Amino acid sequence: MRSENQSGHQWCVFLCDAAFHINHILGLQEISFSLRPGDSMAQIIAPDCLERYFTFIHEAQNKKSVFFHEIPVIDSENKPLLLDFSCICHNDLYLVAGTSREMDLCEELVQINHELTQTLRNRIKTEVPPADYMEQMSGLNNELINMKRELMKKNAAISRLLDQKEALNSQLQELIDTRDLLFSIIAHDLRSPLSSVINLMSLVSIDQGSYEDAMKAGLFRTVQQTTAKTMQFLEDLLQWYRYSQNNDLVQPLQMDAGELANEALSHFKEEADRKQVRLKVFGNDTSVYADRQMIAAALRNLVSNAIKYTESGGSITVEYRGDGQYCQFSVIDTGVGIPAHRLDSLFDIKANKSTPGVSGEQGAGFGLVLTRLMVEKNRGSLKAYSEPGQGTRICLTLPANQDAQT
Amino acid sequence: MINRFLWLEHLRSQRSRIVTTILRHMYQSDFHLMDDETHLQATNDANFHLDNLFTSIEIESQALFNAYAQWAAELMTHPNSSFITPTDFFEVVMEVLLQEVDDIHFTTAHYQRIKEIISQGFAHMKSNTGSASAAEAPATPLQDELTRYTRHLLASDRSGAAKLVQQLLQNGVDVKDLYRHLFHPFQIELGRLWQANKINVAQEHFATAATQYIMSLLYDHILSLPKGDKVFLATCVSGELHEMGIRMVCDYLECLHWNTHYLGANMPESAVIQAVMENQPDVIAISCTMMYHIPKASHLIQRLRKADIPIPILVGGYPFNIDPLLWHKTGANGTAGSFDAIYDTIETLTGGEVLEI
Repeated sequence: MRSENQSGHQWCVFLCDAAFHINHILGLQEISFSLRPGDSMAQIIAPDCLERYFTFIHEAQNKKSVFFHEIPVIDSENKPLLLDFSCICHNDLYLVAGTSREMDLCEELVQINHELTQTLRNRIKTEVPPADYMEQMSGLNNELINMKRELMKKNAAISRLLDQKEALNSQLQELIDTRDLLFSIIAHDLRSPLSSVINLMSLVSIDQGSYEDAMKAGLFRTVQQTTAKTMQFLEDLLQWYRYSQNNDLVQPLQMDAGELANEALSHFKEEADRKQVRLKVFGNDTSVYADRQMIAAALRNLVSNAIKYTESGGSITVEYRGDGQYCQFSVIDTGVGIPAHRLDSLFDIKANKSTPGVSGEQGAGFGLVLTRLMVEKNRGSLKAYSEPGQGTRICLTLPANQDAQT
Repeated sequence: MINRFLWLEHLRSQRSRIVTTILRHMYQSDFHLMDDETHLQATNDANFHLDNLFTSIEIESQALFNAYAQWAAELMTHPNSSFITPTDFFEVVMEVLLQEVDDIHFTTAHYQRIKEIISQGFAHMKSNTGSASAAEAPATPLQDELTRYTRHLLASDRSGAAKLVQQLLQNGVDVKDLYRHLFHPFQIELGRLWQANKINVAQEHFATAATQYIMSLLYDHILSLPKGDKVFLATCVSGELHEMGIRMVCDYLECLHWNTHYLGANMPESAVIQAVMENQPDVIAISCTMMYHIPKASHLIQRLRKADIPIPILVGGYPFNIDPLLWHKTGANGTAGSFDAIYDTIETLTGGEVLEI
């Protein structure tokens, strides 16, 4: 096949098989080769440039199209020529074209296959420059990375929300458990004493005449003590609820630790004297940063408990020590002690169960739970040390000043 | 700003004709022999030079014009370049614009303004001949790693570069330090190499894209760090495609518990305003790398203020590092040229506590 072309420009077009043996010589322009169908194309390649030729055919075999590889050839008159070779593959056949000017290649390809090469010509002549391809690719790449970033941000936000939901669910479950527990405590600790009171008063009201004055006085005293304890329990319960729901009730101040310790003990002097229990207090000069009412109540609770479980002749010591960062109150008694299995859950609402004192004192049972809440609201902690028969030491640690890390 | 520079708007409206006149002057008889590709490139170059010239006048920044002229002179005087040099170009610009003086739209005083800025630019180029406008990035604590990272990416070895970064993380290097001492200095070095014609544009694009990809491998860690309540919203102005810097800033601030929303490159003004309304950020950051985008930043800030958005706005990018007073002229609340400076500035603007990094 021949085509009109500008003079001085050589071109050739071959159809080759998969091994680049010539099937057909489709066209030659101002060039001739000593080639016949069946010959390898390598025959026309300049001997010292075979590597370039092999690179060309390997690329053609891999990519199915390759453009503008400069390869020196030797024509039939042994003259060297430099041609630009291009190749496209279709159905395992390779259309190979070589030209001394690549633009003429396009012209000739138009001749061979008008439709395909018209597109090729248009693309080569009006193609977006490579630099703009890169700009466009870069832009697309940027957008992809941005989308990935946004997606991952949203995923991270969703993860955090799910974690928060888990935490809220746990809190909710805890609140539900606490509510249920409270109802059961209320049912036990309110109902029992009220039942006792109702029964006692029923007995007295039915047959007042049967009871001697002394007996009636005793009964009324029992009723009075029971209702007082029940009232105390209700007060403690309400306090506990108020403090647990509202952090604004805590109003910390800088106070003298010794003053608080002395105040707590003096509150129980009469009771201690009656029971012949000695009260002692000592410590170093230290301050504490906490809500006065709450900590005073907490100390009173601890001292009250200590008295309850200390036998006549025993002693209760309130010790206070500080190091500038923290202040620790220790309420130490020589009482009956606490079994190991109860120590860990002493301040825990879930394990709350009152035991009577050594002199039969009735406890409301909620005092230590409330004490723990009040201490924790003031950024403090409670720890109990005890052995049965060896007495008990309860340590209440609080910040000594506003800046103390807890 | 627009009222004061109506004459510039007049010149811009005549730009196509002025550029053709300039090219005719420059190429003389060769003008008609230029093939399409050369003609297109020459026209693009001419428009690029004029954009930068006019913007320098509009934002009243001699420093930026000087930096631009020197950069263009270095870039376009390499042996492989066949494009118009700034010196030649601006000499012809002065000749051509002299003919444009009509004392109505474009007066002698306006012409003198252009001549003055060009002359000072020439003087700057002359006094800085031989010194590169793009300085090497200062040495970093990860200098050896930076050298290896650069070598990997210039050899198109993206996976080697990614492995290096992963190794650094495993060795305990903080993610923030990767941004400060590796990614950012690498981009500076890449720009310097491109300007010195030591790498081609394909290598530059590949290396930048590879770094973006490697940064994205860190998102799993960065974006899952705990976040505070403060929101940083960042964007490039419309037409601005250079976004690596502002993206790095966003990632860096995520490590410091800021919640960042990065809108991307080339954001239309209306999209930015909508995003601000939706996200209610504590700080807005607008990035410009090309000088001629600065008026767009100013315009965006004006629109934000007109929409009664009182949120503090920072501007940043190459021009603001060249001319430290430039940010004032945009109506922004400030600028910052380094990661730490940005963090300090936004914490101060939002009444936060600047943590020791």
